[in-house]
Amino acid sequence: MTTTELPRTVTEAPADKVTHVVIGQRVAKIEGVDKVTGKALYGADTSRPGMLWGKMLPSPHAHAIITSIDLSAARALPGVFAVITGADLPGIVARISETDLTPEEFDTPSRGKQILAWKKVVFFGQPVVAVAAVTPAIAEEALALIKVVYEPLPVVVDPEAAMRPDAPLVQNAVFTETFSGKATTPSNIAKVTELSRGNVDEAIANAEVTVSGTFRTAMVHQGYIEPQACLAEYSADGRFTIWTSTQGQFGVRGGLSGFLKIPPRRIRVTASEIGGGFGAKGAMTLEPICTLLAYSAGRPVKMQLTRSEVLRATRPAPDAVMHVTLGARTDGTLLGARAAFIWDVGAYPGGGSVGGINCGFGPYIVPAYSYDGYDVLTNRPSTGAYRAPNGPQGAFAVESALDMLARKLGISPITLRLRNAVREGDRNPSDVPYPRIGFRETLEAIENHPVWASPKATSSRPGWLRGRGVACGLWGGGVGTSMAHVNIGEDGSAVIVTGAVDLAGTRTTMAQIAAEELQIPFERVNIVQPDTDTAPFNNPTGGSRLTYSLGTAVYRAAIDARTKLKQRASQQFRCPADEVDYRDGEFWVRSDPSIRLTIGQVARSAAGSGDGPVVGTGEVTHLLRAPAFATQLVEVEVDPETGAVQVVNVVAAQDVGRAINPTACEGQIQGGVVQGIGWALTEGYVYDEQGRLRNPGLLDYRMPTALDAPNIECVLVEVPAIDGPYGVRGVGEVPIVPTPAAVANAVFDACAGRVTSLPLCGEPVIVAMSDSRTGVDRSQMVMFNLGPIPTGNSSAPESPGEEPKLATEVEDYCAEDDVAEPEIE
Amino acid sequence: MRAFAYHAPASLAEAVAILRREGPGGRVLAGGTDLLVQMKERGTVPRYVVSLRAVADLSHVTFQTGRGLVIGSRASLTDVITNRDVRERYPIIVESAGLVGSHQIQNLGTVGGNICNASPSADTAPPLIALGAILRLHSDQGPRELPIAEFFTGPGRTALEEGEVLAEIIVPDPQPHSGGSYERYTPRQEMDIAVASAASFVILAPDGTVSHAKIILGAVGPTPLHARAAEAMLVGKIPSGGLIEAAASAAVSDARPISDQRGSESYRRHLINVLTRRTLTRAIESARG
Repeated sequence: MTTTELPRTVTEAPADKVTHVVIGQRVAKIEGVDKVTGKALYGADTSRPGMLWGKMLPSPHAHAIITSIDLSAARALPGVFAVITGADLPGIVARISETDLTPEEFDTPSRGKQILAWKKVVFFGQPVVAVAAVTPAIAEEALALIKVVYEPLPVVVDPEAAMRPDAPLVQNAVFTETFSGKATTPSNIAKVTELSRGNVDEAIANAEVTVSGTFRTAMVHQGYIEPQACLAEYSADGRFTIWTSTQGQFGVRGGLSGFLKIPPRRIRVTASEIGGGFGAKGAMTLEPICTLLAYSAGRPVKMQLTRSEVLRATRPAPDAVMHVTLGARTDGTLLGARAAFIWDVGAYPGGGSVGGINCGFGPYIVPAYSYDGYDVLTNRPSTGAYRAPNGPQGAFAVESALDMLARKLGISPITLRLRNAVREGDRNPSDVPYPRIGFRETLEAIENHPVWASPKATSSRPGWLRGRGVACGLWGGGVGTSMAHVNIGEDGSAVIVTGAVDLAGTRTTMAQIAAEELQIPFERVNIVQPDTDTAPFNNPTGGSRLTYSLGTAVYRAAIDARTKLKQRASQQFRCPADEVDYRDGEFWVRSDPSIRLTIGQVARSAAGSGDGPVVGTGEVTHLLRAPAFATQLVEVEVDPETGAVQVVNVVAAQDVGRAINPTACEGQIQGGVVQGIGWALTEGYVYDEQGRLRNPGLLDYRMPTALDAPNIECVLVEVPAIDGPYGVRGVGEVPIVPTPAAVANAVFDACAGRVTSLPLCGEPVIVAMSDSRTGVDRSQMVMFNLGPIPTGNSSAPESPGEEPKLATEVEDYCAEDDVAEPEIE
Repeated sequence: MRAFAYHAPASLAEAVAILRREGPGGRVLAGGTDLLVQMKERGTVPRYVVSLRAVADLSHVTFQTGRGLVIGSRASLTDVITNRDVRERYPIIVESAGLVGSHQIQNLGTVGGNICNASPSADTAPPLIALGAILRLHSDQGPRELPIAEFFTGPGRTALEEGEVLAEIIVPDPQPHSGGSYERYTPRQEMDIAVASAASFVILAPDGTVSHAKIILGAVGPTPLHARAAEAMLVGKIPSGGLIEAAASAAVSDARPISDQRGSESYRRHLINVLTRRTLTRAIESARG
């Protein structure tokens, strides 16, 4: 896409329509009663007769060759029905699919094939053997009887160390990929991304002021409360039925179809109610192994991860080391930026740097830049999508550097950002132009907010210091395929049928859209999400795409139903359809408004006469992305003696385009902010030198509790998106993006310590304060000699602008980019 | 969780008889807030569990002048926190017990369990050691008493012998002109575990000098530690800001911290300095009335 002429695909929904009745209302969640009364069925809540329990043996080593596995005692244990190792996978898949499989196909360094270790383990806790037995206790006993002999290998868990030419190789067959080609010798540097524009060296050399810093974030977990759970059943007709906690049941169907090499018609997937996903359940975890256990055992198998398994061996967000240099004029105008972002993607390639760069630098006009990204393998679990993937990391680096620049120049952090903020038509680091956006409006909302306008308060706690920080964030917006049916009942009510998973209250917002367009009361709309055999197709829920894309499908389906109802009414009125008017549940003939029928009367008659009952359908395959921006103001209190930090107040301004349900928007924003506070203050994986995770539990993996959550005031800014209905934008991802940086900037404001690594609560604050007193500068990052990497072409790549890929191969599906692609196209 | 045997005796005598009969490999359950997590999350499943939940006569919290405060080993943290005598006479116990877990944990968990779990970071341990508490331990051979200061032998290890159960915690009568204070550092506001903690307890003589000082450090050694050098520095002297600073520095050298997922050695030493100074200052203020 090279022009700023951007197509709109939904033209029937003028964004400035202001006469909405249901849109914009704070209605209660449709599924709320089921959830609070414990009736909702989550992943582990379904059982089948004769069901077995599956468990997996974790590797005690972060890197080791599997010398031998003795399964004899486990297999002999009464009650054990299946025992599977990585070496068994090709054979079982070959039997299921009746194809000839080469075992080598399963011996590739692929996230999607990372189901059981084979030949070697590459991270601590990696599953090595899976068993199915009649009770969980017998399954655990069987695991205890398995004897695995390992030959430990040198371990690397630090991404900078992993980049050294002499570092232990995590994978033997990963070769550095660049825009210009692929290296020929294996390396831990899986991918190098280079984006540039103009002459950055000259721009920075000529800058009147420069700042630079090296920023580090920790590997963090999505922290969904519901651990992954799955139930798989194989029936004699060759079909598999899967119940699972997932963000996308069609994604699981497509993923399993690719993995098992069988057509989708042999697979039926039912997504359960979901207890949080945040990107992590967009990729498969238990489904492949649970399916293979069920097939091997000949009985249904249920698996449910423990909390420690969730933390050790699912897909957390990558930690990052980010070096940033900014050059500007004394008025704050940015002239150039140079950045090197190192992403610890874990033991398998994937993830990607571009998202962090686009989220970090995307909000600002930078005339000359060079952004280098390195995806680096380490002996840690594969990383994956976590709410605005790679956005919080990138924003932590860039927004911290901007805060340093504002202080150096003595100008307000909001003024600095307003001076450089992108507008419609400006291009992001991947050279894609922005459509209409509301970034400046979020900055202005904070600038005009009473908290920003009032003098800084002092702490009520003796000795504690209070500070304020600002940071911004961007999420490019999610798109993809969605479809919905709207069934009109004989009483004029409506049921929406969709195959999309509701992560955050979208059932309610969908019902609001249908009620609005059908002009019937919200209470007369219900929504169901049946399995993949029953529901129309949907891409997984992720990337803040659902309200936008499924909302478009529901909008179209409701209008389709209304149009059909009008046609049915015209049959009863015995007049042409275009002479029938409709409003608020009543049809009438325009020439004689006394001739009226209610929507219920039309639906009831249509059920047995004329063209028959009404089902509206709506589908959407590709909308223009609707970028969402956020600006947050965070107030903290710091105990300068212990380094303790408490976030006491947050004002979060966000362009939501149009708030379908303001309460739902605020819930999303508050949830994102609290997760961002976790990144900022207390969350982070801690590994020892042997690569063992030291904190695989919620005691020492410290997510915020209710007591750590401050008052969070949400300011909903509504700059309508140019595509989709009502001007709506995705809301879920972006609120997490600014928070870590805003907290760190507030800490600096409080205690004059510039904390450059997360999580920051405690010792990092003490060290930063001491550095600032003694003038120690830790901003210089050592860049290692990267060895023989082919140098990529240094111009920005052509934006692909392609249709979203469908998940046909398990590895495609497991690459989280399908679910939540951070780029703006 | 792997299979285990579960015993729920109705009396202390029955409980110790089961422990004698079944022998090694058992664990005693009071509230279960530590034990069950260890069994479920860490897979450390004992051969058998003896629950004290049905033993009625271990949940008392009583105070009698001359006999001190007696806390039954099955009394919940909430029983202790809400007891009027404890609130009036032993505020430092209320302060520390109120930090353990959440309200739900406090309703189920016990002071006895917090002690017997023998975590170096247990919140109730430093104040009870500082106050000179005595533990009454029972076996089928009868009771014995042991100062709590001698109870902890390592992380998760205690002086409890095979077949022994903690029955009561006895805290001496409050002393006139005494004061105590406990503080810990945790990254989260609450529902967290101490990175380091300190309890200070002082008694002042009529001339204003310190006649007795106890400073107990948590989470900076294999067991709660006596800061003996710091204590010695205080006794016989009139407390001053300088003296408190010096004692806090001495406490840092008494500490034996390690680096782990909760904090580095150097940060823990830094915290001990701050926490000792703060708790000593408050303890002295409160002793001065």
